[in-house]
Order: sequence, then structure tokens, then C-alpha cells
Amino acid sequence: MGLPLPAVLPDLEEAVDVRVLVYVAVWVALVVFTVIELMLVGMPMTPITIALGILGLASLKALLIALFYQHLIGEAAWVKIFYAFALLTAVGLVVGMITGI
Amino acid sequence: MGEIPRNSLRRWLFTTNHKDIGILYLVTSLYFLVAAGALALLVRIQLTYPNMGFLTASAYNQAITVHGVVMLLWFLSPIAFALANYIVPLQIGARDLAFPRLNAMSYWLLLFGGLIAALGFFTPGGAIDTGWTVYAPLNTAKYSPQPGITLAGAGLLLLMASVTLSTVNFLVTIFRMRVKGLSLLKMPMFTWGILLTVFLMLLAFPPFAAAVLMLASDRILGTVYFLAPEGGALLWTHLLWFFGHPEVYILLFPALFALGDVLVTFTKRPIYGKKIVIAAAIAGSVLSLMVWGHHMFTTGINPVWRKIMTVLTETISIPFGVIILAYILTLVGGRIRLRTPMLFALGSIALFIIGGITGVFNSSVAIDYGVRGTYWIVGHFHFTLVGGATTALVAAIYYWWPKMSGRMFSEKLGKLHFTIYMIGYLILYLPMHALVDMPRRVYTYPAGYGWELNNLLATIGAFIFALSWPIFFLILYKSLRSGEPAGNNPWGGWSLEWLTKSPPPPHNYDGEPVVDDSGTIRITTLPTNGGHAYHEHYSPWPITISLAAFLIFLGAILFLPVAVAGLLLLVASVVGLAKEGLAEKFKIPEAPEGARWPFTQVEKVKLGVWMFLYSEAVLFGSLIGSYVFVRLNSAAWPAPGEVLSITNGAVNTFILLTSSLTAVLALASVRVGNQTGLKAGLLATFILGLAFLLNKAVEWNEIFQHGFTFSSGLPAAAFYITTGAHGAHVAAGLVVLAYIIAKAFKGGYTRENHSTVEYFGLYWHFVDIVWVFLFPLFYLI
Repeated sequence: MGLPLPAVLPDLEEAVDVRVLVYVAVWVALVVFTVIELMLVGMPMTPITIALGILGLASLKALLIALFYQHLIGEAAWVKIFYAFALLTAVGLVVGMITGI
Repeated sequence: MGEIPRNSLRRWLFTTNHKDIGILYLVTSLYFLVAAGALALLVRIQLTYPNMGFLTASAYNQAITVHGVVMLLWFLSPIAFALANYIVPLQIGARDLAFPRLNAMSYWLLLFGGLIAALGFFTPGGAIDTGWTVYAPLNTAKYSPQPGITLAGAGLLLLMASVTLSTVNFLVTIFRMRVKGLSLLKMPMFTWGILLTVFLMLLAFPPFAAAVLMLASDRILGTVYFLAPEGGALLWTHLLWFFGHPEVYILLFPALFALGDVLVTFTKRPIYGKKIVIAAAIAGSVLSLMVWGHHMFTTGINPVWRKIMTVLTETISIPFGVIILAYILTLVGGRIRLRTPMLFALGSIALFIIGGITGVFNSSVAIDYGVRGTYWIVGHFHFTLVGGATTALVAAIYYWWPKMSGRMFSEKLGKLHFTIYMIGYLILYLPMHALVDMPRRVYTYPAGYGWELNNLLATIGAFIFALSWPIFFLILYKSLRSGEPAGNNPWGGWSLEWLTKSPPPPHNYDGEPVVDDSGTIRITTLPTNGGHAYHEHYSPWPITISLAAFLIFLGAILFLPVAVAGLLLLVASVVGLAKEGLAEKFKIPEAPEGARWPFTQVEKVKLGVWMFLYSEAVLFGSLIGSYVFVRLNSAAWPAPGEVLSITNGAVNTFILLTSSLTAVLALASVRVGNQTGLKAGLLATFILGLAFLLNKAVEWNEIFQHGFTFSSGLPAAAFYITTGAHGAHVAAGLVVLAYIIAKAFKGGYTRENHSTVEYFGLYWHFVDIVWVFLFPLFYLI
């Protein structure tokens, strides 16, 4: 079709290379955070502190997966807003249940 | 499939056309109305006089329970979706819903769900008899061992699958398939009502789905979520009412907003303050997710929360007051034509006002303590759901009937119908408000409490009200047989559906609907939808997949070989569906132009996946919330490593995290046209997913051998149900992945066309996110 594909391709490949690096870096971070979670289990701290630490790391891992693997970072604003609203609904239910509604 | 004659049975079984499915919904919901209405009459006969013996206590309990469940879930919602299916695509100028086969599947799942629930009547012990709220622990096998309750649970699960598909379908259709120029604010009121309804469904149904899943597990596998005192009654009540309160608005919005369209047409005035009405409805929707605690005032919940719930509940009455006030102001100065749809519309507004006002009383903790569980409550919610919603939907059916049938109906008979309907209605439900001290859900009552006259009146009213329905059906039948031709726009309506033929052709419009900047609508003579011709689509797989699900549940509950047959049918159907996909038979391109804000840049399948994931987030939130709830209520819980191997959980975590990496690398590969990388990435993801499931199976087998079985207690219940639901999601992902791999090996994905790989990834990463939380919750804390 006469499109200037050769001129575009190197840029595209470069962009993809960068993306692959990001994907691998995120995976490394996920593995490292999981290892830290495992290490926290035996630490001499109160159970609440350990639980909060582990769940904080889990939340961070979830955020990384959502932002970089689900590509939420580049999604339309309303996709993020609806996602946040759904999560807020779920959290609201849990908070309501455990605080004694 | 080849061409199918439009008057054949095969057409109705295999159709995916939104108008056909709308008619299927209409007929089915009216069938369920008649069935549940007949049960209500049995109940009223039993309550006519004190100490009646017309029904046994058990028969009464079954009749009242099935009446409630069917009216709420198999009549009111489906009849609204009958109209939504038929009318919404017409109102937004679309050729069909976004996903026609999923739409057909929604219908068949609903039908088979209703049938499996009804089968309970023919099993030992009879149908579900717990009251429509199915409170725990009465719902457990210990107190209600009859299979009728398990069958009803299976019916509810099928219904929820139906609801999930419908919800995603309508959200994507309304957001992505509006004709050019039709902004959200310019949409007709009914479409707005459906948009808000499906949005609420998306968030409110998953907690109930989680509850029913846990109940099914309790009853079939022997877990103890609702039997244990640390879970039990309060946990069920939370999950039920988190769904149950928004459900009121889910039932109400389609009706309330259909009224808007009727009022506009029969007053010849735009809705007064339309923007404010919509804003009020959005506020009401959000608030409806925050007031479930007012159904739990008498359960001993935190007093501070009771006060908050009282305030929120009183607040929620404001937006609905605003909407009704706007409707009344629309009438003021309008050129009102009292045709049958308008009469029912006005009747509905009047009855809804009464139902709304009695609801405000119930928000007071003090009053609620007195009236909870009495006929005052029965009267109140029948005024909102029958007086408000059903009456408005009757108005809506009369309003759109000429469009659907192409025929007018008898105004004279319509007015007779309205008169008998209203007289019967008022004699039936008004006396209930005087029975403020008579307990509901009790099969008889003693004489001498002053309840006799009001009960007698209610029964007389019930029969008059029941009489109005055969008149309604007769009117519709006579219209079909010999009604005057309706023409395109018999009422002089202002929205798009009135610009096409009555009934509309399969492709809806002979031309291109257009909405210009001033809001004027017209049909141009351009080719359909920006050049994309419409083709009729038939598919056998929606009905066979739904039938397979029906057989699997039926077999699992009553006779296992049936489940095996169902499983085989499911596999065959999924393969058939996949073949349709591989052949791209259902590939419906999006029109190049259209009003798509706020999802202008989000392709429709992708938007559908996101919407589905929002619902999934609430489902897993509910399951995790239930785990947290019972864990915090339990005095003892196994320490990390005591029952579950941390190593095992960690290995599975690394496997799943790596599978997410391989999935996203497959996507990166196809984006540069690297087919080898794509196939390698997809295969690696599949193998890792399989390894996750195998490792889980080995783990389950080991802990089972060590005595940690389904019935071991709450830790076992929480673990097996939550990780089991997650495992089922992994398995479902692998089925889809197998299809994607097959297509990839056929060269089906290219640098330009690889969206399916991306959308699968969204789901797969979501499943990974869920495990990221399940691992620490069950293995480390």
C-alpha cells in the first residue's frame, strides 16, 4: 500500500523493547515483594504489624500489575474512575461488615 | 447458520436479534407473573379468615417464598429487560446490542434458572420455603434439608450469570453504540433508566452471588459458612441486603424512567429539569449502595451505624422526591392526553408517592423496631414495587406496544383495565397498612386481634386485581389479531424509535439515524450505520450452553449422570462457539462514527471486559470480606503454616506472577509482528496456568488427607470456597487461552489485529491480582 513502514518500524521496536524492559522490571519487583512478604512472616513484630505490612505489599503488587500489565496507566480516565468506584464499593462492603453495621 | 424462516420455531430458539429476545423476555416474564400471581392468590385465600386450613404451614411457606423470589427476580426485572432489549437499541439508533450472542445467552440462562428453581415443587419436601430473604441458618441443610432450596440456589446462580452478561452488554451498548450526535444528556429517559439500572446491577449483584455461592457450597459440599455462629445469620444478612437495597432501585429505575418518556409524549412537554432528574437518580444510585444497614436495625448492629444509616436512608428519599416533583411539574401546563399509557403512568406516580412516604417512616430505628416483620412493611414495599414499578411498566408496555406489534389496542378496554386494576390494587394493599401489628410470613392468625376485616378486604382486592390481568392479556391478544395498523408514530413521540416502521425491520432503520446539535432527530437515506450493513445472526450455542449449565446443576443436586451429560453438552457447545469465533461469523464491526463519550477511545470488546472485571472485583471483594468477617469473629484460627504449606502457596504465587509476565510478553511480541514470541508467550502462560491448577489440586488432596475437609470449620469453608472460586477463574481463563492459542497457530493475530490477546490479558492479570491478596490472607497471616 506504499505506507512508510520501514521508517516506522524501528521506532515501534524501540518502544516495544522499552516496554519489555518495564514488564520484566515489574516482574522482578513482584518477586522481590513476595520474598519480603515471606520474610515478614517470621519477624519479631506484633501480628497486626505483620499483617498490615504484608497486605500493604500485596496492595503494591496489585497496583503494579494493574498499572503496567493491565496498562491501566495509559487507559482512558473513565476506565480508571469506574475501576476505582468498583473497588471502593467492595472496600465499603468489607468495612461496613467488619465495623459492625 | 443458514437462513431461517422468521415464523419458525428455530428462529425463536436460535435468534440473537434484540427485538426477538425482547419478545422472549416479555412472554417469559408474563408467564412467571401468572405463576407467582397464582401463588399469591393461594396465600390470600389462606389469610381470608382466621385459622383457615386451606394451605398447610409448609405449603404456605413455599407459596409465599416462591411468590416473592419469582416476582422480584423472574418477573419485574425480566419484564423491564424485555422493554430494554426491544427499545434501547432503537432509542439510541443502534442495529442491535453490542454482543448479540451474549444477549441470547442472558435470556436462556434466566429461563433455565427459573425452571430449575421451579423444579423444587416436584422434589421431596417441596420448593424453597424460607421466605424470599432466605435467611441463615434456616437456609442451611441442617434446618432445611429439602433439595428444593438447593435447586433454588442453582436457579439464582444461573440468574446471576444472566444478569452479569446483560449488565455488561447494556453498558457497552449504551456507552459505545449511540448514533452520532446523541450525547448522554440527549438520550431518552428510558435509556437513562436502563443505564443506571445496569450500573447498579454491576455492583450490587456480586455480593449476593458470593452469598449464594457460599450457600450452595454449604448445602452441596458441606462447608459451614452459614451454620457457624461466627458467620451465620449476620454474614448472610450483610451480603443479602448489600444487594437487596439497590435491588429496589434496580426494579424501580426502568419503570420510573419509562414514565418519563410516557409523560413527555402525552403532555407534549420535555421533562421538567431533565438534567436535575438525572443527577438526582445518579445520587440515589450511589446512596442506595450505602444504606443496606437499615434492613438490619434489629440485628444488634453498632448503634452509631444505625444512626448513620437512618440519616443516609432519609437522605435517599430526597433524590426520589426531586424526580417525582419534576414529573409533576412536567404535567403542569402540558397538553395532557389521557390515553391508556398515560392513565397507568399517572396511577403509578400516585401509588409510588404513597409507597415512598411510608418508606421514610421505616428509616427511623424506633419505628422500624415496631413495624419490622409486619404487614405494614408488606404494604409499603408492594406500593413501591407493584404500585410504582409494575404499574409504570404496564404503562410502558401499552406505550410501546404499537411499536412492537404494529397494531393499536382498544382504548375502551384499556380504560376498563385501568379502572379494575386500580380498584383491585387499592382494596388489596391499603388495608395492609392497618395491619401494623400482624406478623408476616405466618400461615394463619387467631381471631380477636382486629385483623379479620382488613384481611378479608385484602383477599377480595387480590381477586379483583387478579381479574385485571386477563383483561390486559385479552387487550394485547385482540390487538394482535385485529388491531388497527399503528403507523410509525401513533402517539406523536419525540424519540428515535418512533421514526422507524412498526414493528421495525430486523436492521431497525432503513437508513441512518442522525441527531443534530439542536437535538432534532431524523433518518437519512445513507446506508445503514455508516456503511456497515446489518445481517441477521442465528446461533444455537447460547441455548445449548444455558441448557448444559441447567443439566450440570440439576445433576449435581439430584442425579449425577445428568451432570455428566450436561458437561459433555457444555464442552461441545463451547467448541461450537469457538468455531463460530474462529470463522469470525459474529464479527460485527463498529460504526466509524457515533457518540461514545466517555469511552470514545475504548473499543467495545475491551470496554466489555473492563465492565466484567468491575463486577468481578466486587465478587471477590465480597468473598474476601466474608473471610475477613468470619476470621475477626472467630476466637481461634490456624497459624501460618499449621494447615496450609507456605512453600506451596509461594510456589503458586511465583507461577502465577510469571504467567502474567509471559502473557504480557506475548502481547508485546504480536505488537511488532513477532509470531514466534506470541505463540511462545501464550503457550508458556497456558503451561504455567495449568501448573498452578495442578499444584492446587495436589495441595487440596494433601490437606484433605490430613483431615482439613470441607466440613472442618470456618477456616476450611473460607479457604475452599474463596480459592476454589479463584481456581475456577483460572480454569475458565485457560479455556479461553486454548482458543486464543489455536487462533494464533492459524495466524489469526497480526501486528494490526491482536486485540483479543490484549483483552485476555486484562482478565488474566485480574486473576493474578486476586491471588496476590489470597496468598497472604490464607497462607501468611
